[in-house]
Amino acid sequence: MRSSIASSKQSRALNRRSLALAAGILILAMLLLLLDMRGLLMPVKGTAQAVLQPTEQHLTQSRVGLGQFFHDLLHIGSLRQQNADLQAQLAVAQAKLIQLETNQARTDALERELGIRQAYGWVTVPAHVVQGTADNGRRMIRIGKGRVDGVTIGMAVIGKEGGSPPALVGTVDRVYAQTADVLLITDGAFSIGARTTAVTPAMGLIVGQWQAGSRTRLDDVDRDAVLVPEDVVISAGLSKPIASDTPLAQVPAGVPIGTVTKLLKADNQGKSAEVQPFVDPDRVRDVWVITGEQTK
Amino acid sequence: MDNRRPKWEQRALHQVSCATLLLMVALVQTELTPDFWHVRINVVLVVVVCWTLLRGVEAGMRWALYGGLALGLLTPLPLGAHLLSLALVVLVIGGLAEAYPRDNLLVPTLCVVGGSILESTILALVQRVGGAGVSWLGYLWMIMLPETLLNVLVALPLYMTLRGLDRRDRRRGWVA
Repeated sequence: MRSSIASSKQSRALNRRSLALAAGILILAMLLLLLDMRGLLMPVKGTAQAVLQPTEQHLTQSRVGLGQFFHDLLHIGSLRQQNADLQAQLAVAQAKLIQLETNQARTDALERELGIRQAYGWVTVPAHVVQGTADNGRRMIRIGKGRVDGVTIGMAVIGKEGGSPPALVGTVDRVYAQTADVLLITDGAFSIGARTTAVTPAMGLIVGQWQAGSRTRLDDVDRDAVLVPEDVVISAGLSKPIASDTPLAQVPAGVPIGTVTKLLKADNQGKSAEVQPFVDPDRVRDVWVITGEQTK
Repeated sequence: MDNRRPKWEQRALHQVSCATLLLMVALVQTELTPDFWHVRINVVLVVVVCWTLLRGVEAGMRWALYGGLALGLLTPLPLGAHLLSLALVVLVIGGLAEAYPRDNLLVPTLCVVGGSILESTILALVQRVGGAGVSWLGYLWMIMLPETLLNVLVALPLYMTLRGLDRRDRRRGWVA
């Protein structure tokens, strides 16, 4: 009887201890959450990431490399087809290049005459992907360059995959001393001004649509604008002249994003279309951060 | 005086070992686990749920603390988000599964299903509070359900492994 009471008391004591521990941990979690949302834990996370970065980078690069190997192995048939298509495209491109070189002198003269020549280059910082998307709810990657390398919030991050042009992968969302988190163009929270490269461009907003099934979408396009599949979409650089102090104002105009694959909506409200990015942000291993623009 | 009760140095060393183990599990989850349908297996969650079933709420809470902090340091979500979700999962699973036999393998499977749904919901809420747009229907179909399915696939192998570890500890008298 006595031992039963003692055991019961011990059990209750253990329960109390478990509950006290649970309460303590929940309070700690809320406190950490609050402090991190206010940016007060950035030095702690930055230091931890600096320590873990080499291990993370090594593991991530190995995983992505292995994934690419198996992907190629599984798609060897389509790769052969792709190779044949690329060779055909190369022949066409070479013919066009000769034609373009012939026209270059005339174009240069016309541009100078019209005063609209805006030949610029991007100043970029190369970076390795330290970590792929780690949280299932967010499409973000971590890169191995941070504040000390001149990276700031809002900068455009570009990548290249196979024969794709250098294209937008995302924008810098958080910056630590030696690393930075990049919000991918496929994340639901991603949004940036974009336009097509048609003679009369269709302006709109590129929003991440991974969570809704597709990858990105061009929204809020004027109902009278011409928007057709195969249209190339590039960044519009709209924020720069309007609000130069916003983080996204650092994304220059003309950064390739993707191609329109199908029209989703066309009514009195406007148009929207699905856009297939040039680069799959989940597969890139090396990226470049556009830190500025240089005039030639 | 119980001579079998470990000294504080031994207990501290045991906790450091647990924290290191959970950091390694978190590293495996965030860096090495391949993604299927753009979703990854939440190894830390499965391990914490299984350990709670085997050792009770107190031990589960400690693993939630180490796993939650490790994920908080490794992932872009705010520090504390994973800790909060894992701690709540341990509390709920620990309380609900109290009455059910641990030898029935359906119990860990169902607990991992419940834990995955609860954890995903809490993380989505944290993102929502943080200002990220969350489309609930898309989140359900594209993240919550695939993640739960993937977690269930690894639940039993991990549960059996941890049960073996637990039985070894009990045989050696390390656990009361």
